[in-house]
Amino acid sequence: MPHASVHGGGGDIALTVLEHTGRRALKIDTGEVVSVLGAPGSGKTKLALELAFLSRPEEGEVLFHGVNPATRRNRLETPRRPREVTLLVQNAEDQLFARSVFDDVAFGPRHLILPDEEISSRVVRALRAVGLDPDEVGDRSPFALSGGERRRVALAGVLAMEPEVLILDEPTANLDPKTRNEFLTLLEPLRGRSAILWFTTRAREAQLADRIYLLRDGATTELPSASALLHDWRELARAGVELPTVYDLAGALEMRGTRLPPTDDPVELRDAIVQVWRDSHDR
Amino acid sequence: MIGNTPKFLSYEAGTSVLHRLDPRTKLLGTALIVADALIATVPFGMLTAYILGAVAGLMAKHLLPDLWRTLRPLLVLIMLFGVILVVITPGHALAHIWILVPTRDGIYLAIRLGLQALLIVYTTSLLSLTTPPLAVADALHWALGWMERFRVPIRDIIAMVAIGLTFVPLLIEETQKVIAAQRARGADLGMNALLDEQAMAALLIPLLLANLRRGGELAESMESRLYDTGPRTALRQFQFHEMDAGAAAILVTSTALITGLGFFVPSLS
Repeated sequence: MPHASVHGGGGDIALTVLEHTGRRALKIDTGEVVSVLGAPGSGKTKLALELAFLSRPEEGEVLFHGVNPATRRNRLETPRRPREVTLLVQNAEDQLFARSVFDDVAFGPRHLILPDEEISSRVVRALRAVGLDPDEVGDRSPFALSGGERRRVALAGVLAMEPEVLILDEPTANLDPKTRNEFLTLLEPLRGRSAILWFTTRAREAQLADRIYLLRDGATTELPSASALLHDWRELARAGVELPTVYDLAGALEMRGTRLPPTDDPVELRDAIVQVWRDSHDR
Repeated sequence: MIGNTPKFLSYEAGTSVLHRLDPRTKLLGTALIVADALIATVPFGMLTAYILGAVAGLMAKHLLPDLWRTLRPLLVLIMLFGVILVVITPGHALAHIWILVPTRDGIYLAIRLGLQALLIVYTTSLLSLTTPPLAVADALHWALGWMERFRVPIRDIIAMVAIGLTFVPLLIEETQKVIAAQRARGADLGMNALLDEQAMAALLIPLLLANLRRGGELAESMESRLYDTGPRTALRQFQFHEMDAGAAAILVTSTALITGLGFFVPSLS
């Protein structure tokens, strides 16, 4: 355990890569997939930028391997942003700019000052990881691709950095349902390579993670378990989170005074809704 | 980074005297103060012009801290250019330091140009802070409408200026977003990025594309709402008040004073 001896804080600190303290406390361990679920406007992007060391925290501190990189030990030292933490910003396809897809994906690794062979092998690996053929798209202009493909190229751009922590700010926002599902399947193989921190408004997507935080009113709460997420669907609906359709419908019916069984099972809810509908039509 | 957007050129709603002044008064006033800054002699003319500027500022006191924050970086720039001017202007040499020869004429020029630049930026910032962009556009149209007789498409030009001004805050926000995005994937966008072609491309191309796209969408949405299909009437009718008469009196008197000082009182340069 080299980290334990370096930081001297025991095994716990060695495992935690990135941590936010304060009201929006959250931590992520090496290789873990963690999601942060929050309604639109709950401050997800702000939190993502803070965790990526791109914005100064409004409250609390961000620690990378237990250390706040922004604190200076002396006046001469300029704090450096840890490049082991990367962020895929919202609508990241808008940030592509290079002449070719290859150059765009290589943008990050080139800033790490790696040898040329290493750069090209990383680019090839990253493009394959997002389901694109490097020989086919490598020389094409990123602007000649479709929206979904450009989002993949943007993801490849951060993957090629081979980060310790990959932060995704609503990676499936503004994608059509088909492209969204394709994109979700890309993320599964990334498990274990980097710690992944995933911001989303959709309960269904949040459930793909190992642990879930709910961001609401400027504070985070960790939910007991991923499978138990929808136990509190009434609570989540009030928080403005996007739920599977059956819960949306059940919530709307309850608001109008329809009595439904106090269950969180989608099948039972569906059957109950069907029953309510039948009853009202038999009359 | 994102969130604390600088106030540069963006309108701040308020109810101060300067906010309530007629946009036309403010526009002409700004033009007069800019002209004053250009013709004023050092020191007395400039002093009068600055007093005029200070009076304008005091009419919107609560905005001054914000304004100071925007002007601070400009001050550094002005001083830097000042130092350069002092040593490159030919004239009466004051000293010889290695190859640098500061001259008296250089010092006068630096002071004069610095004071002019500061006053001009200060006044125009005051205008944009206290006047909604569309009101500035309407005032411009009032002031320049006569050019339509000479077939200058002044209405379109002003519409473009107004739309441009409205989008400045958005552009600033977007720039910060692009900077964050490119830094997130390893770009080093510090001062040395200005010399790095790749880093500049990473910043400018996404910005340019976003703006082209927005421009196209805006044009379509304006046309779909029948922009430029018939004669136009004004939504807002301006009305001069007593306050405007007072402001005009102060402006005209000071301008006359500054001009007079230029003719009759000896200046430094």
